[in-house]
Amino acid sequence: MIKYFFIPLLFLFSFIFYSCSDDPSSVGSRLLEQDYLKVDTLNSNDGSFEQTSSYFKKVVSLGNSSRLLIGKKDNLIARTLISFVFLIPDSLKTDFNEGTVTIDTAIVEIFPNYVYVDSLASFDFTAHKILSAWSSSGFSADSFSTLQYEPDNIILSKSFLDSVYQFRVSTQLAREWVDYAMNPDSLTNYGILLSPDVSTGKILGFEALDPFTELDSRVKLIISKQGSYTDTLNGFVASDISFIEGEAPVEDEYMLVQSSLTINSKLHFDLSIIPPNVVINRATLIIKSDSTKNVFGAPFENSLIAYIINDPDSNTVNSDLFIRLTASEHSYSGEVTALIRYWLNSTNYGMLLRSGSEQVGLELFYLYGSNAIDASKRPYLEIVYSYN
Amino acid sequence: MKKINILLLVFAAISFSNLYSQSNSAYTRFGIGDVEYSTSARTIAIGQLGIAVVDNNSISTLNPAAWHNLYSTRFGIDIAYSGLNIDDGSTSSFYTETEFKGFTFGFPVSQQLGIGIAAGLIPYSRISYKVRESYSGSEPYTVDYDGKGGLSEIFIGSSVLLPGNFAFGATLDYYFGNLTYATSLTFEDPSRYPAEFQKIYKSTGFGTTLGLLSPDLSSVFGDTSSISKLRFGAAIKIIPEMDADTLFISRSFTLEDTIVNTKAKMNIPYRFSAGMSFVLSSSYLFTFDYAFQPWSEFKFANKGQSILRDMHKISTGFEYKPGQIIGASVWEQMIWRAGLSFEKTQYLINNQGIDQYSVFGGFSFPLGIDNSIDIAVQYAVRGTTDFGLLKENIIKLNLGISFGELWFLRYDY
Repeated sequence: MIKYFFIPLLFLFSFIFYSCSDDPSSVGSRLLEQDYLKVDTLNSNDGSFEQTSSYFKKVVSLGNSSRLLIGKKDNLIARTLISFVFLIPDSLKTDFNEGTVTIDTAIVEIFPNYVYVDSLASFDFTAHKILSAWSSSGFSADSFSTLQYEPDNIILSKSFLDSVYQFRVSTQLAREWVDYAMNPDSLTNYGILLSPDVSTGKILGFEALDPFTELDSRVKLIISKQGSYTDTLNGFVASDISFIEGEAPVEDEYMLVQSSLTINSKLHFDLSIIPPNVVINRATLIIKSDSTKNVFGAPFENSLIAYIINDPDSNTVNSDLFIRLTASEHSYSGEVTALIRYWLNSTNYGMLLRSGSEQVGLELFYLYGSNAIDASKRPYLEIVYSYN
Repeated sequence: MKKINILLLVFAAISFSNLYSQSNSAYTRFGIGDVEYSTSARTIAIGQLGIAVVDNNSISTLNPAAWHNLYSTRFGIDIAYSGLNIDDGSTSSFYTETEFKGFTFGFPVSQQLGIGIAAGLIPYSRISYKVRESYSGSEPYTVDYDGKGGLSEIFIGSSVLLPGNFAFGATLDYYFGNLTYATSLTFEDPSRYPAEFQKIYKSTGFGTTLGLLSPDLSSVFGDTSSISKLRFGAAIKIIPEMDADTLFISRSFTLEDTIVNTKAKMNIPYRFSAGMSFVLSSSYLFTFDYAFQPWSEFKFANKGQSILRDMHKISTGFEYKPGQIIGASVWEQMIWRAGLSFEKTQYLINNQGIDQYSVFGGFSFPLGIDNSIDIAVQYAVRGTTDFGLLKENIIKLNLGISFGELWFLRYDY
């Protein structure tokens, strides 16, 4: 009796009620005033945020760069250090030790992949034997003054093609590299310094050491044993690094950002006007640039990266939290909600702006700063937030 | 086996209902929400009170003194479906939800001394609303207001007969539950991150319920009177003070921030109930009850709330219970009930008191001796569309199952 009457009745009621239920509506919202949310929008154009900006040059080691830079442009001089390593078979070691094999030719090959700025400008460089130790992990432009090298140019001849730049070096130097490869404990090999010629009017980039590419620099030794064989012995890059000398331009109206040299900008917005305990729904940053003054090589990454500054004195940043500002017409913009949220929950030291490829090229960004004469060109921050 | 199957079905229905719980009244935003008086379909059908009713076939959650007459071990479980039409004067919406109304368990220890012991889990208050408002402007967005939770009560207690055949009962009550009020904001523009603000009050505390029942006073009308089982009863439910952990949380797409995390005290006022009941011509039970709870004394963090006033409720009920007739059909054994109530609820919104009128009906369908399925239907009207308030038409269907078995009985030879 029960199962024929009440159980179906139970489920019938269930379905009737469920099927009749409306979606949530505004009925009753007038009673919920204590839970009302407010949404406000503030932006830097209406004076909501005080802002300051500056820029500074910070010499960094470019050891992690995927590009080697050589050349000269305006006040910039780019030099490169390379050392080579050889893997010599035991049979060949015997021949070298007995003096029965000779090095006929030593050719260094480097592969261009970047030009800054004028591809038609003249380009030449010299090579010098390095006499003191250096490391790709710590060497920088500031270290150059302590680097010892022979003043004589070791290049015997050059051949610059579109895809590869070749230059012959003395076979005597090549023999030193081979000897070092056979006796690394008793000899030294600090490599060579590639330095631009005074007539150079551009800076070129070349493939740097990369275990996953076949286009990194190399040296080819043509060796022969009288009446026996002629062969090629390849040497590969053991270590390489480039460094840039130069000073940052002096500008009042702009924030400057430049790769490799390196120039970074600091930008700070005073967010104290935002009430506590709000939720940031959207924060957008737009930084306008002066396209007539920007200096870009080719190819290059046309973007900026905004980092949170952890320490305003040392300009160290939180490398885990950054926003890429992408380029649009004459400006760079990005959604910086995460940065604003961070600042509202901790000390706001502002953001650090770096080039999107900080250690790869030499791109110089002229960004209108907080002191731009035309206020509409100053960095623009818009924040949409809600609160209870 | 049949009982087990029915219980399984009820639990399945409860689980099913929880999945689809919907929304209720925005009035529940205030205080601790709607207060439950009775969870039993038997009591609801006679106006939700029945303080002076002694029913051997159910466990009263209103007056523990009523347990003095238990003669078998009883188990009861209740659920309720509610449909709510809300009208603000310009728009109306209909919502439904299903609630688990708890369960009770009790058994007699000594009928001679009137000692019965009972325990249970029942709701004390309930918050349930879901409101959505859209805003236009330069940044169009939608706000969802979502309130849920409430206080539940676990009780255990006993009754005893006093000299003069007065019955006294008392319980130890433990209250617990979360009162959650969430407001979330979603922009039409998906590039704007949503936001949610949540207030959570995690409340716990102990209380007690004391009840008193008079003996059968029908003898004052003489032996020839058709009135019997004339009783007066009273009960008071006291919650001295509750602890409430208070959490204010703001939540966005990637970040949850606890704005406030404090402890506070919540003072829920006592509730006093009194009533009388009598049986006419052996089959017709009449009840008259009154309940009072001074919600104007409600305090949270030592602060009162001006949107609450004292609650008064009066109700009357009627029950027709046919006598035990050997060979009677199931339909002839059904118990029929009806009731009316008027309540000045605790809500005082926009300086207007919210009143509620209710009419009740129901029946008990016997499942053999001592067992029944109880159905109660309540139709109520609460509030008004004037003064920016809401008028609610409420229909509730309560389903209870009550079982009795001769367990735990001591036989004296």
